[in-house]
Parts: sequence; structure tokens; C-alpha cells
Amino acid sequence: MNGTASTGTTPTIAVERLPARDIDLSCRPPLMLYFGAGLVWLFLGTLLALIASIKLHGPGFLANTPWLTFGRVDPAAANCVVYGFGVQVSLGVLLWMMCRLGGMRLLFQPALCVAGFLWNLALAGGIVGILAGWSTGYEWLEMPHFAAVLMLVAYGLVGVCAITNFHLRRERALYPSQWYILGALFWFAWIFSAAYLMLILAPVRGAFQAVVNAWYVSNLTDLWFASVGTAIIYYFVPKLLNRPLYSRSLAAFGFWTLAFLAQWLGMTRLTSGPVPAWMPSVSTAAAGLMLVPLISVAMNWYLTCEGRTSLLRQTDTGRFVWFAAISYVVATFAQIVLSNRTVAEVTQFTYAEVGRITLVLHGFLGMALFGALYYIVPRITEFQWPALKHVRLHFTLYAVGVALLVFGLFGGGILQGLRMNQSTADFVAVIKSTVPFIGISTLGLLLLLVGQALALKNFFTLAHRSNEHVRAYAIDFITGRETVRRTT
Amino acid sequence: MNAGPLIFLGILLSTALSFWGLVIAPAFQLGRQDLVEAGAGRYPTGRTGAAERGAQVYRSLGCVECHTQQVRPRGYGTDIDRGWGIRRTVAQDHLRDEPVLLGSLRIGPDLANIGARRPDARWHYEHLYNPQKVVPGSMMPPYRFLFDKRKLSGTAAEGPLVDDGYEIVPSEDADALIAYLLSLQSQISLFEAPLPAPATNAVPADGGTNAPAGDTNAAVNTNAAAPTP
Amino acid sequence: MSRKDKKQNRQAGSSGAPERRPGEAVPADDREPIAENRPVPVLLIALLVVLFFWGDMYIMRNGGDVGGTAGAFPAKVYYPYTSIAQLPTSGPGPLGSKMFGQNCAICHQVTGLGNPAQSIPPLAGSDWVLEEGPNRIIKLILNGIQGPITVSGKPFNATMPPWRDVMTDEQIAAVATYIRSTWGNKAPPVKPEEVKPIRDATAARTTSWSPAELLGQPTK
Repeated sequence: MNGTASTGTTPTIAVERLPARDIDLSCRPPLMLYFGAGLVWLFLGTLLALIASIKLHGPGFLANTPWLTFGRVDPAAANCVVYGFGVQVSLGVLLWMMCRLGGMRLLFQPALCVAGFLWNLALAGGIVGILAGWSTGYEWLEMPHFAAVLMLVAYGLVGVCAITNFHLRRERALYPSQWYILGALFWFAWIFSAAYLMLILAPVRGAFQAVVNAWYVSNLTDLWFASVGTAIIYYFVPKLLNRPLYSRSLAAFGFWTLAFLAQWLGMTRLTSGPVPAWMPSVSTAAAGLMLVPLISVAMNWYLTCEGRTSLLRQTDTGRFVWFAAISYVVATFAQIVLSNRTVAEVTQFTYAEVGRITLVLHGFLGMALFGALYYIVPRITEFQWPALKHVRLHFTLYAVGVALLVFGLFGGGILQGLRMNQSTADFVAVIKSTVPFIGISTLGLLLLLVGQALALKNFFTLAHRSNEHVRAYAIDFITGRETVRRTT
Repeated sequence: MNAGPLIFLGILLSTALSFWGLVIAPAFQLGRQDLVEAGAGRYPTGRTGAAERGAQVYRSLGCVECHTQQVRPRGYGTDIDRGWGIRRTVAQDHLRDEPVLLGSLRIGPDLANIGARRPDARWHYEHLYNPQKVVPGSMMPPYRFLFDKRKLSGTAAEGPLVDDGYEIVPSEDADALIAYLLSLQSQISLFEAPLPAPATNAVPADGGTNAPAGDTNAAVNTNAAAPTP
Repeated sequence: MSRKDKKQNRQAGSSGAPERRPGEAVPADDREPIAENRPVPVLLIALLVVLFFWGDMYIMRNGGDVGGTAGAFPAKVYYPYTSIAQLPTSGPGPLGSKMFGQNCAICHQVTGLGNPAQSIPPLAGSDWVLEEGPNRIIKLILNGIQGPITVSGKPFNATMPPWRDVMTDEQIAAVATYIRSTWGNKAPPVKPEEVKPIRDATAARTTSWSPAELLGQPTK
């Protein structure tokens, strides 16, 4: 089928896109590795997070060994989920979307597989390093030197392959998702290497380290995760509804405002901290301005649905994507509110900020990635999900789990902040009063874990059957028999 | 239409602008700070020996996950009213820290001035070994793995702690960590964070006061062992 | 939607096609999303402009005297701006405040309010400081002072060390200028040329002044 240029104004040129089936099959080797490993890391990370959450109920839980002390389990969990699942599965999804939109096969499969292998090796070493006590101490950069270097090499490999794929695409016109993909590919390399250079390799002096750290975390969540999730939602909403995206210009407006504004966020976590007053003020102003890209993107999505999101929610992928879109809107509003100095006086060192990041990581990115994953995997393997009911069940568990988790953290955080600001309140009593809210979060994490276990089983059963199929096919080819039923 | 390179240029520009604004420009400010003459010498004084190793133990155990090291100014939050510090934390205080572990979540109290708040090493050892005994209801996990438990034979105990017939001997890591905690003090008056004028409890006979109208009238606890944890 | 349709939709897989048994291919869909072209709503662009303006105002108001006396984006101004009051204006220059911070602030405080608990007099509004002629103050700084002293009508009694060997003429002139032009003080500045003759004249003196002695000294 021929693709057409996506604007109504330029003359349509018939482009020789490859059939979608060919594109999908070409993506199989690296993507199955990224997705499979990503799911395992997500499960492990959520398990570690659950352990950490239980420790907040009874500090003596698993406290006898340094390997599982709270201060190590917590960052290990975060790194597992962010890098093992978040970045890795995102790369897989971005590669597939880029190939589909560009109308050509994925090239450099072996290099991408090597990169995936390196990434996971580095991450394994890094997580063990954190639990062993070699943490660097910087938030979301706790993995020791060797792991960070390997990860950077692996990412560089993926990035180079991806950009080359992009350059060699057949369909030259760009769809909005591809702008975000281009941005994401560049931005992670930039922020990760800059943060690594300025914090670990050649550490900068004093409180400036906190500035660089805050810059990195903010760019990763509010720029990179936002780009990936937005790209996914821009791709799937029009596709599943079989309607065009509402406005290309609005998408461009949203993209450029995000690109130029989101990178100024992050210093609000240092409000009244040991940094000059102008820095948090700049970030607060930028956060207020984030209203513009939020409205652009939300408006585009909503008007593409023409208000009828129920149609979207009838498919599995649609449900995940719908939840992701809502989470994004809520999380960005929360950011605008939490960046206000008066609000920050209450919420600054509380669970509320953790809650917002969790909403972005799980509610927005996680949901978007799973929606894409449940769509992509059957197409790249030519096998349907073994337990379709579990896909739906996973969504329910994930949605309820995220809601509980985020509600618990926000509620606990606000309570913590409000009570802390009464100077007479005994600190221990304040933390104790947040425990019921943490209990809600712990329950949420448990639901998340069950859902992820279902997804894991589903995925690996499918992968196993698909591998068997491929093996049988290969044996047939070699022996000249025909035991496998040919599928079209 | 091949807009790829143009878009990439735009992306690069957006990154360059924000990187310059938020990272490079502060590098000229914060990154070039130097030691200042304050108090008895140059500030901040570096940590040596056990305290320096203790900073690495602090980092390795992930204490930063629950504890911050930044006191917020008076009037913003209640850090100073609570006794966690006598003045706010500024960049100068952390100039020699490596890594700088400001922290972003408070499940435990702020530690920027803990060395002055609780100068008693024994309290810290007991707290590290069994926090719930020293601060009932505390959320801090016990760090028993930093100590050795040896059966008491005879009457003399070597370590400072005794627990039910066992002597609790701190490991090197525990000693280093306590030394680090005791070195956490930020009580020097700085240009950007002056110490508030003390309370006028030594007021002259005519009843006048030299304190300015308004803000800095609160009593100041300098080295008094504050009851807050 | 009828129950039958709903059931069919529920059985549909991720793509909306009827469910297939494992091993059967999932039909790949060749449609890729396209975008229509509608203009950006003007209101949204207007919102961006308004928010930019707001952001600008916000940074000016809350950025710690941005572009004010401390220069653009001042590094040492932390919220809430206690240090703006101390920032040097065009008068004394940075050397004076630096000297003050290093040497004098420990006792007399950066706020210039002194330390009544330790009987250290303030410098803000002090009649000693505000004398038009600086000689008394220069002598005081050079050799220190000891004994009961009345400052602005209030009694104090502390010992101030001599700074003769610690600060040069430039430094003493700068710090005296700073003290005489900060915290609302308005007295003429002090030049290094005014310090030198006094230093030479009192070179033989090894003890600190007593207030009574100093009061007997001329101020010009």
C-alpha cells in the first residue's frame, strides 16, 4: 500500500512503502529482547519497591543485611524501573514506530541486539553494585561508573542505528511522533552523558552537583518520558480510531513549546535550598508556561477522538493509551501546582513529589509502553497473546494499582507536609500519621506486581511458542518436511 | 519534504539554550565558589580521616533516601523553629562535600546541623544500633550489621554499648559514620546567611533593645542539646 | 451497542480484529496515522504570550533582586533575601564588605547590630561611627578599645582587639567607609590617605584605648 505525504498542501508523491508485515517481522529480534528484558526489570524493580514500601510500615523488615537496607533497595528499585523498563522498552517501541512511519525495514538488527545485551549486562552490574554499596549517591544515577559507561555505549549504538534508519527511511514526510522520536534519541544521550561527566567523571564543586542532578532527573521525566509517551499516544490514537490527527500545526506548536520549555524545569526541587534564589524562580516560571504544551497536546488528542473516547477504550491498546493520556494531563497539572513556592513550602520534602514522578513513570509512560507492547508483539511474532483475558486483567490491575499508589503518595505527602509545618508537631508522630497512606501505596504496588506477573507470563509463553514455531520452521526447511502449518 | 535536519537543529538549539541557562551559567556562579574566611579559619573546613570515610559510608548506605542536609530559611517551613539549624543552608556549606547529598525526601529529620544538635557520640551509637529504643516509634531501620555482638566474658566491656549480656562493638564503618555525623555542623555566620541577632535576655537596665523591629527576635539555641530528634 | 456486538468486540484482540488461535497470524494493518492541517488556535498563542509575560515578572520579583544592585542573577542572594540588605551599593565597594565580613562581623554581626548579650555595641546608628571626622574611629580600629563605653546612650563593656597589624591602610579605610554607609548610616567615607598619618602618629602605642581616652581625642 502506498503511503502519502501527510499534509494536504504538498503534492502527494507515491512512495514505495514496504508492507507492514515485512516491517514488523524485521523488528522481531531486537525488540523481543528489549521487551522481554524490560518486563523482567519492571517486575524486579516493583518487587524491590514493594520491599521498600513494606519497610516504611515496619523498619525492621529485612533490615539485618546491608544488601537490603532501605537506602539501597529504594534506589535499586528506581533504577530497575527507569532504565531497565522505562528506557529500554521505550527504545524498542520508538524503533518500531519509526520503521512503520518511515515505511522501511529495521536495519542493523545484530548491532541492536548487541546493544540490548550490553544494556542489560550493564544494568545487572549496576543494580548489584547499588545493593552492594557502590552507589554514587546521585538520584537516578546511583549505578557505579562501569555500569553507566556501558549503558552509554549501548545507548550510543542504538542511537546511531536509529538515526541511520531514520535517514534511510522511504516515507520522507514526517508525522508528529517522529519529531518526538528524534528529540528523544538525542536528548537522552545528551542529558545522560552530561550528568555522568559533571557528577561522576569530573565532579563539579559543591552545591552545583545538586543543580546538575536536579536538571538530569527533571529532563528525564518531564522531557524524555514526556516525549516518548506523547509520541506513542500521537501514533496510536488516530490509528486505532482510524481518523486523522486533529491538527498537525497544533502538534508542532506543542512539540516546540515542550522542547524549549521543559528543559528549564527541575530547580523547583531546590526551592529555598542552597542555590541562588533565581534558579528555582526560573523553573517555577517555566512550569507555569508548561500549561501551553499541555493544552496543545491534550486538545489535539481530545479533538481527534471527537470526544468519543469510549471507542478508543474498546481495544486493549486503546485502554492503556487512554489512561496514559489522562495521567499525563494530571501529572503536568500537578507539576504546575507543586512548583508554586507556597505549595512547595508544604510539599517540598514529602512523598508528594515522589507521587508525581510515580504518576509520570507508571501512569503515563508505563501505560503507554504497555499499550504499544500489547499491540506490537503479536505483529512482530505473528502470534496472538495466549491469554487475552489476562491483557484486560493486567490493565485493570495496573490502573487500580497506579491510582492507589499515587493517591497514597500524594495524600501521605500532603499530610506529612502540613503537619511538619506546625513546628510543635513531633517529627516521629508526623511520619507515623502518614503510614496509613503508605499502606494504600503498598497495596497499589502489590496490585502492580500481580499485573506484571500476568504480563510476564503472557509474554514469555508467547515468546516460547513463537520460538518453537520458528525452530520448527527452520527444521522443516532443513529436513524438507512440512510439519508446521503455513500461515499467511 | 525532508525536515529531519531542520528539526534536529531546533532540538539542538532548545537543548543548548537551556543547558547554557541552567547548567553553564550557574557553573560560573556556584561552580567557582571558593573557601571564605569565616569563624576561626577558612570555611568550610574539610573532613579528615574517619569523618571523610564516614561520608562514603553515608553515601553507600543510602542515608540520603530519607535524610536531607539542607535547612530551609526561617519563614519557609519550620526547620529553624524545630531546632534543626540556627540558620539556613547555603551553597558555601556544601562546598567541600563529595558527593553533595542534599536529599529530597524527609522520612527522617534533617541532618545539616546534627553534629551541633547532638554532639554526644554515645547517643548516635545507641541510635544506630536500635533506633526504636532511643526514639520510640522511629521509622529508622536498625543498623545492627554495622556492629559486632560479642558475648560478655567478665565485667569490663570494650565498646560503649552493652546489650543484655552482650557487648556491642561498632565496626570501623560505624565509627566513621558517627564521626561524619558529628562533623555535620553549619553554625558559622556567612555573608549570605548571617546568624540572627540573639535574644535580648541580657538587655541593659533602661529596657531598650538593639534588635531591629520585626524578624530576628526568636531565641537562638546554639549548642544546647535540643530535645528534637 | 447490542450484546452480540459487545461480545465480538471483547473477543477482539488488540487490533480490533476477531480473535485468532495461537499460531495463526495477526493481520498486519498497513494504515499509518496521518495528520490533518488545522491552524493553531489564536487563544493558545495568546496564552503563551501572556504566560511569558507573567514568567518574566515572576523571575524579576522572586529571583532575588535580578538585575538590581547585585547585578544580573545574583549568586549570593538566597530567598528570603536577607542578604540583599548587605549587598554593597556603589559607595564602599566590595573590599569594605569583605573586610567587615572577615574581621568585624563575628562580634558586631553582619547586621551591624552588635551582640548585647556579650555587651558588644552595635554599629548601626552608632554615634561613634557617625561622627563626621573619622579620626576617632580610625584610632579605635588601629588599637582596639577596652572598658565601659556608651554608644547611642546605652552602656556596653567589651574588649575589641587591635587591627593595626591585621589590616592595611586601604583595608581600614574601606571597612570604615563600609561601616559608615551601611545599615542606614550616612557618614562621609574614609580614604587611605587619612589612615596613614594616624597610623604613624600612634605607632608607638601598644595598648588599646579606653573610651575615656578616645573621647578626649580629636575627631578630625
